[in-house]
Amino acid sequence: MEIEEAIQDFKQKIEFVVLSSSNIADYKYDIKRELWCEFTLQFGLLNSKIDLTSLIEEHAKETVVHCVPGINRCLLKEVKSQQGPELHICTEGINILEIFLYADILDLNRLYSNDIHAIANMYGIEAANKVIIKEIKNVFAAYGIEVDYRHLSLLADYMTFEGTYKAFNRRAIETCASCLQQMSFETTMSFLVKASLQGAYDNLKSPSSQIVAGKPISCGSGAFELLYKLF
Amino acid sequence: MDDEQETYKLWRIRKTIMQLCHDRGYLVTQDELDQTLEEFKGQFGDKPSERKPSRSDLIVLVAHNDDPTDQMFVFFPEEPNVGIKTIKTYCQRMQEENITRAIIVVQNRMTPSAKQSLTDMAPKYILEQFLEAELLINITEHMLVPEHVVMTPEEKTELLSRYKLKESQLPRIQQGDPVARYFGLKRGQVVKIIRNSETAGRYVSYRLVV
Repeated sequence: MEIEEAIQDFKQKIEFVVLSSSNIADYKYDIKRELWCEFTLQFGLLNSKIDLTSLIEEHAKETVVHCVPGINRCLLKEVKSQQGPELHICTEGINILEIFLYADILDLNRLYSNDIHAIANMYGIEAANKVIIKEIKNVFAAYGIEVDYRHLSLLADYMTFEGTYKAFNRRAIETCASCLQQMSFETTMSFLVKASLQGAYDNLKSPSSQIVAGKPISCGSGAFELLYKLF
Repeated sequence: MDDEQETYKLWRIRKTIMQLCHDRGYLVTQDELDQTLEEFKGQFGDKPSERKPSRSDLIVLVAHNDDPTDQMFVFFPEEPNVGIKTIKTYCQRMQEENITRAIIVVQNRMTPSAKQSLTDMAPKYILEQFLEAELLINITEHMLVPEHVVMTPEEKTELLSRYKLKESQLPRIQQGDPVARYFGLKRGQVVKIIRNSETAGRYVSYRLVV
């Protein structure tokens, strides 16, 4: 009974495909696993100028077999590690929650992305801190320049100080308390105007503002003052 | 989704929840922490589509190590989108059993009004929500996430006085930060972060929850 039904189903499917276009003469498909199908196309000898390759290419580009939102491309890369060669998946675009579903085949504790916001949202600000260090290092490494780890960790600590990933530009420096330091960074006039309008106050504690005011900065030998005994 | 995948998912989620409870200082047995997929199937069944296990079977109640009266619920709602009605039933249950803390593991999303009700109930009842998708993995095991240790109020005052600091001078961590949510941190608490450093070996840093 079941076999008959299956045959009926099989015939119906073939009929459906063959009837769907006058150019299709025959159709076969993989009944067991549905992994392949075969078409026979027929065209008249006259008046048929069809470039099949380009048509198929065009359709292949549009047809989606499987897709993960956010990921555009995916490459398998073999990387040499201390334990011997291992395979890495590199993706263009990111969708961390989707990747989590494949915890059984991927070592997710070593997942890495250069998307600092994505890492901060998924793994927290401390993980983002490490990504910042690594990414800045990579930028310089491309030119063969090695930057000391201490500089980079200082930068990363500054950028993550407020618990969010703060960019290193004039928009982010608006959160800085010292208005003179803001002015010494970039767009002096706009920061000056803003500070004057708000009646901002600078306590001259930051190095930049101390230099602006002509004071020795309060670190190193400027961190303290000496009192002389005059008599 | 087929049963095999679904069971696997539930097992991972429950495992992460157990680790989370353990890391927050609640009493969890070693067996529960190490539970394998086979053991999970044995305990709860392996046909989620036939409600074996149904999500409500997975419910967890844990007591704190230091204070057994301090208990926490972990709820697994059946419906994909959790509304205010479910929250109410959970709240009643918490009231009956006199428990003030709970975690709700949401399949898909929570309606805005339900989210609002969670904030309305604080600080008397603390309900936190997690998505199933984010609990498939324990984020604190990731190689980029350093060890976070939650400090007691005494340790915090000692830290501030030792370094002559004001609270505002400490680096900060957002309350919504994934790690802060994992530990269920409240505003004003301080976490000690033990990082591995290339130059110093171990480097201890602190962050204030804001």
